[in-house]
Amino acid sequence: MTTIYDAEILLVDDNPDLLTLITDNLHTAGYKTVRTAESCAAARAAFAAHRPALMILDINLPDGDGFSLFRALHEGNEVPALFLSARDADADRLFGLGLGADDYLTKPFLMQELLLRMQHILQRTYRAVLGRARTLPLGDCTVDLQDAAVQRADGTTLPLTATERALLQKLADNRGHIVTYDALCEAVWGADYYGYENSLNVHIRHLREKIEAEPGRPRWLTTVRGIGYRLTGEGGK
Amino acid sequence: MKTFARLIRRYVLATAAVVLVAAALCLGAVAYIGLHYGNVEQDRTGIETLAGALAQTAGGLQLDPARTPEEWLQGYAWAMVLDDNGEVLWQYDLPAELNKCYTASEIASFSRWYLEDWPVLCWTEEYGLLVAAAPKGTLWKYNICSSQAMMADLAAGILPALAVLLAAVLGCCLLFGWRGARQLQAIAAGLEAVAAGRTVCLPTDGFAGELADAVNRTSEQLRRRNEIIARRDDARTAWVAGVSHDVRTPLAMILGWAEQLEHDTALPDTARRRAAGIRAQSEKLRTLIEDLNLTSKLQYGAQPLRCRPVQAGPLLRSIAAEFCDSPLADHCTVTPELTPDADKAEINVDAALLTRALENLLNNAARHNPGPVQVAITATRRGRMLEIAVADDGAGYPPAVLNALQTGANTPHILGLYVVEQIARAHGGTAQFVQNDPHGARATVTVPLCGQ
Repeated sequence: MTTIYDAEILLVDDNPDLLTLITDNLHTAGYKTVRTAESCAAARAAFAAHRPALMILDINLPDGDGFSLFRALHEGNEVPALFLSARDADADRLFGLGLGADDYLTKPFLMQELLLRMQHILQRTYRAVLGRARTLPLGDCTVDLQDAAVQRADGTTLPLTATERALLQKLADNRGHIVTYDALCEAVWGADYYGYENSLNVHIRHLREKIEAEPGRPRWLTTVRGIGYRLTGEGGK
Repeated sequence: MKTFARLIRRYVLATAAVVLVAAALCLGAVAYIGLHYGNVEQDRTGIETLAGALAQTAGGLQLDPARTPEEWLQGYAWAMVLDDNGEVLWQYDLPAELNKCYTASEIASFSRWYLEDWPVLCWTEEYGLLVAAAPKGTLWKYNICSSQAMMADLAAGILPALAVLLAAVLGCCLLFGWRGARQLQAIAAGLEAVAAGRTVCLPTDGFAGELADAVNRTSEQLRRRNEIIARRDDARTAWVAGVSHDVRTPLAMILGWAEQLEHDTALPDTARRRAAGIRAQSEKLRTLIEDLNLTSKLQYGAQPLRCRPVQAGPLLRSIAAEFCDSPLADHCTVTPELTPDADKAEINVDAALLTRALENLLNNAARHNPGPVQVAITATRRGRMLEIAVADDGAGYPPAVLNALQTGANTPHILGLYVVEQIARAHGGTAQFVQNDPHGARATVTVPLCGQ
């Protein structure tokens, strides 16, 4: 697996229309292998034939429930799973997450939300396999997160401090989305981060000086006032 | 426990009062009898006085002439004086059959008892033995004789005996008072339990059995009524939950297909715009179903409140960040403006529910204002509460909505805001909706701070 799109997805739901809809969308999003099952038995067979990288499970199935299915498949195989169900009670949500599922999404859902949550689970679970050595393209310059170095457009290379690298890693993991001050501080200084807010501003300023062509008018590392920062995606947002 | 002590105290005091009243009545009766019969006795000359009035004269024994013999002997039937040989020396109205010589044993007998049924009184003087008889049936005579030691013991033991008697009376009072109070205490505990909504089954024996039975019946009636209400509420909640569950999967399909069509570049722009419309309406429907489900659960207490201490700043920022990342926020700018102490304040809330309330407010700001809109989230400490306000510079609440919000009428148009109010209330806080100055809507939600 070199990208998350190589991950095999096992989709279990008793509604064939919904299976088609999600499969189409996953293919469109770039996922290459999506297998589907309409019952617990079919899911077990599919799991035995090809061990998936991620399971998306409904809870109400014709020959059993998704919780038991998850428990049976999860035992001995740490395959990440996301429950996708019409059951919205807190008790169901908590039970599913308590079993060890990575996420719980209730129907009806936005396809974009499902794709984002899947992306988060896959990146988090297969971080080691995918390799965090990936380079981060930021327009004319490129950041090598493993070597903690910025390759500037003018050919110069600037080193990143450990804190700057950790900040950039957190922002890159959520590229295109806002990361709150709190989440950034926690990523760098741990749960007990109070009092580091001013330091964060200083580190962000230094980071901008290294990755932005015009640090005063940042293009990539933008501030969302009062909330946090966002690393703009390659497509613009 | 207070009632218990009060009951016993009252019981003992009441008994003491009864004893005192009885003792007072006895004393009164004795005093009355003594006084009344003392006066009756006063009409008769005392035997000692009568003996003193008799004196030896030359003509024999004579009554003092200061009074007539009738006056001296008023209250007596007859009188006589016997000499040492038992011969009658002097007599007054003595019946003929009694005018005789008396033997020593006869004298000893009548001095202690009766003389031929005449109650007689005797007095010894130098001149002889004066015997005076009251009319038959007017005097009761009884000779009492007892051991000296017993009388001495009786005199010495009377006070301790009274004390023991009093203690026994008080002990009995306490015992009966305690037993009675214990039964009443069980009834009081039963009433407390019924008032607290629990079911009771008290023993119905003893003097308070009827009361206990009435409490039992009341408790049973309340239990049955509560059961009916709970069944009805459960049915209503289950119905809403069931309907919303069944609607979810078809709606997921509509939403999914609409989203797919919206992003299908092979379709003409108008078709994609219509698909976007279907997607937006489906999202509204989704929110509506979630609100309907939540409001029904909150109304019937079926929504568990999982309150935990949460730091206000990070929670509000993460809610704002999530909203800003959603497509709905494209034309919105959200800015949290938290005072430093509010940022660090710990609130005791169900974070998922509070998030839901603030999402509803942010979604409203985005949905009801088609143009660009600025939304400010502010938080301020107000005593024991944290006041969170979501204010926008949009069009504000329509007058009909504001009226419904302020009069408390719940119409489907304000379901989202009604949910906000219910969530605030479930946390022990409040929700207020007013027009923002100079324009826009302003909603204020208060939630409790930790340790309050």
